[in-house]
Amino acid sequence: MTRRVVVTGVGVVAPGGNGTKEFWELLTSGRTATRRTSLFDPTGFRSRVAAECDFDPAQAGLTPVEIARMDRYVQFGAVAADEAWAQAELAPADPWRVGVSMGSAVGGTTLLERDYAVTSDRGARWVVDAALASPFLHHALSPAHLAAEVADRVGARGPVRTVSTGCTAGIDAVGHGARLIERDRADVVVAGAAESPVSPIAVSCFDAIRATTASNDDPERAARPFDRNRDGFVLGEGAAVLVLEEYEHARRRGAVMLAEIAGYASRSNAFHMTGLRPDGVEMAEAVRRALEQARLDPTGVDYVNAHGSGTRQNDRHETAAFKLALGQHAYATPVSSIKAAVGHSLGAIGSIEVAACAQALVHGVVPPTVNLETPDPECDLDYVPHTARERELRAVLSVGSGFGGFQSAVVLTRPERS
Amino acid sequence: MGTTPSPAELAGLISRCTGVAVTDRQLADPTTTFSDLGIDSLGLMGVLAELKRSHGVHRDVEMNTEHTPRELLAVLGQEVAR
Amino acid sequence: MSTAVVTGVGVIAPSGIGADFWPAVRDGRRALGRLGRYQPNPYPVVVAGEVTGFEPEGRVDPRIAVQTDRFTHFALAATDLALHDAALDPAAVPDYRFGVVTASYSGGVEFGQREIQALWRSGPEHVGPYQSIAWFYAASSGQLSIKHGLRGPSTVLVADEAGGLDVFATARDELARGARAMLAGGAEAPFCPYSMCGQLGIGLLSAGEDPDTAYLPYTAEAAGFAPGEGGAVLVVEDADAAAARGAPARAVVAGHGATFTGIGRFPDSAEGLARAARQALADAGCRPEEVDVVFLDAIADPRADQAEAQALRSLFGDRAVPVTAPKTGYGRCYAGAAPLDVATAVLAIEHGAVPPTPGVTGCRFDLDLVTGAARPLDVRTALVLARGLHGSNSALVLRRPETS
Repeated sequence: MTRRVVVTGVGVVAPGGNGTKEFWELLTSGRTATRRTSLFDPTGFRSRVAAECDFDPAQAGLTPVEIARMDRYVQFGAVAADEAWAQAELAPADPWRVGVSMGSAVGGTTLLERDYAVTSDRGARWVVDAALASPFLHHALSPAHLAAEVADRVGARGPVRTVSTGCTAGIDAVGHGARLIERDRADVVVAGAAESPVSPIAVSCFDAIRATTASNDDPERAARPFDRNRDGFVLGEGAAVLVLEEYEHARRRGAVMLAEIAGYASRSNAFHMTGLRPDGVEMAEAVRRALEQARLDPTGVDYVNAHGSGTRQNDRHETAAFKLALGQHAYATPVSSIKAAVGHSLGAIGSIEVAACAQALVHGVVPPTVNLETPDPECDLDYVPHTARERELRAVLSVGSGFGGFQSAVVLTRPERS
Repeated sequence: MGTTPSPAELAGLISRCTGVAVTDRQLADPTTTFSDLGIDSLGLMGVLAELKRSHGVHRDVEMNTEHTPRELLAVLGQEVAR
Repeated sequence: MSTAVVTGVGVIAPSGIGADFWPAVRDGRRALGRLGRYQPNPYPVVVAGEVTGFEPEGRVDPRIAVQTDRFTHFALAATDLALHDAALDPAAVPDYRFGVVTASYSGGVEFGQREIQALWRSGPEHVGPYQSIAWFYAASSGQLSIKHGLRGPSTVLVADEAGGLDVFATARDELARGARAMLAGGAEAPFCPYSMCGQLGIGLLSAGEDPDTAYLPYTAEAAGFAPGEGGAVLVVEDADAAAARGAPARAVVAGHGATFTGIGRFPDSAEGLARAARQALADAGCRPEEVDVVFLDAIADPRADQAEAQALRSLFGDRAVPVTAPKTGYGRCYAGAAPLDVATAVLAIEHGAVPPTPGVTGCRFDLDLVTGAARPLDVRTALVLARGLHGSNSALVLRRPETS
């Protein structure tokens, strides 16, 4: 018997709005939350634009002890988990049947960098001074800290895992979480991802390969997915967490089901750590397998939430992938990227996009691709420019593509479909 | 700042940055591209960044892997001339 | 449902590389020594397991070596050994049916320290193009898929030693979903100053200065573990696919279980480990009475060791089950530790011998701990236990394939 997986809670911490409600308002308003980098002085860096969260951990409900212990990305994840868990209204479930699946691409970058500057005397010594290190530095070595904190917040004692597949980690964490339920390892899984990479080391490593935008003069319009004049992504930060629940478990307790995780698949391009072949065949294969699991024909897809990072290569690559996987239906399907609005938060964005898809299903609204002014002949689908669009949505597809060659796809449907 | 690297020095720099063993003879061949040598876009970015840091090459200089090392040498010569 | 079998084993360990590994662990040879990767060493961790003599030259393509950290060098080299051992040509596996799942604890830390030093000492333009692909936890899975043309499902799990066990469950899961073969394993290279500076905060590393006594789990002298580097990658194949190409099944990846009991809450890990093991046994369709040997986590913290002993008691009652921790001979290799234990379990099944726990005498718990020399034993079912420093407990059951 197939165990189905539904979403019964959503929590988001994102640029431009903390909380799912504010996040959704931003996405559908056509505004963007990209601005000149303020978390550190970006003078001297090639890319000086970021999508930052206006986040006060104390105001968000974290205690001083938690704030001291948690790196910024863990704080995001904890707060998003609290919101999702509260929405799910799950009274004491069997803790051994509650799991966690969290994603992050680069984990504790913020603390690693802050402590590095101090212990190395700003790079002066190779053998750093351990006496100057934070007592929590060891948590920053490994993003497993995120999943552990989330697990303790919800009292999970079942399988707790951390997925770190670069920029697809947010989709993959949700996919792995759903599988834990499908395979009867858990009845409830808190799944999501968090990232806080807006720090000098992460910014400089994307500078070095020119993956991020150099449009520093117009920060609000720096991310331009599918636009002919796009010149790279805007680094973002944030978190999204979903409560995934086995369908019957949710039905029995009368829970509100926001969406069903109907299919998930991941494939590798085995091509290049950062480069993408223009044909998109591996992403198309991931999409096909996710649709197959969802028992959905390509024509059943009502909306595609694109990776849409706004790099030259990516947007062409996935446009080709959608045409391969959906055929002619690709031209009739709205496709949009929310990255112009909230940036590209590496491992977190996949979960943030899944959260956006859940909201899209609930509200029957497709969020737009902001900043799409000049069409690119190589990107010739319906990208829903500028303005949100009302539309009856039954099934939506979200995809991601990451360094390392990861290509992932997840299908969300309205849960009443059976 | 910086001095123009000789072909041999450039070959050494490329090998160090990309892991591809390159000879100065290969650098002189007008038809061999970076791509032909097995140097990918990331490798070439590393080479250019090193030349900009240590040899005074202007920061706006851009190349892709279909360019040849010989073209890079020509650029280096012009850079110093101007 | 498909059966997942191990057809190839590739080991890069302080005790030995490739075929040198089994004789070294079987004979209980010690490979711990004074940590030499950086100088000076002002930190209170001086005994470690290093893969001395491992250089990327000859084992890793120079073009890849410059763009990757040592932890990825280990993974690449271990994979070459595993594919050779399995006699498997990746090109012969149907497209999209060969994937990779690796575990990492701390990613490419040494590479990362070099680049972050360049940033802080000299400025952002001094950070090279490879930092973006060498430092992150996914570097090894990405490089392995590219090198071997693996376009199947690919993923990365992070949970210290427990993550290194969970990769085998993920590989098995992907085989059940249609993959024909998976690379599964992980390697760690945790010895650079900044990483060590972080590891000190864990509070579980041994400060002992004598390689013979620094890492003595289950004894009154237990005072932390000696960290190690290295790891293993295994080829896990669908049993029918392996049989079709005439590859011998070396062991069946039969069952897995996982729980969480919190960071540092070791007393709770007794129940967590026991439950994970019961899940794994149930998943494998076998009873606790059938377990012939247990490979232990061996954190060498008195509370952690006691919890592990309690978990075994809860599983086996009064029955004396041989247990062992070969890692006391070469160090606890974080995400590489469990893949090494799984490799060792496969070799124990093949060779009919349980390798000892080097250096440990005077076990303070009522355990049948194999010490001194290898114990000849007909191993049909092995249980591997692992805990993650961030609170996870995992268990994996490996079984000898039925001979038909």
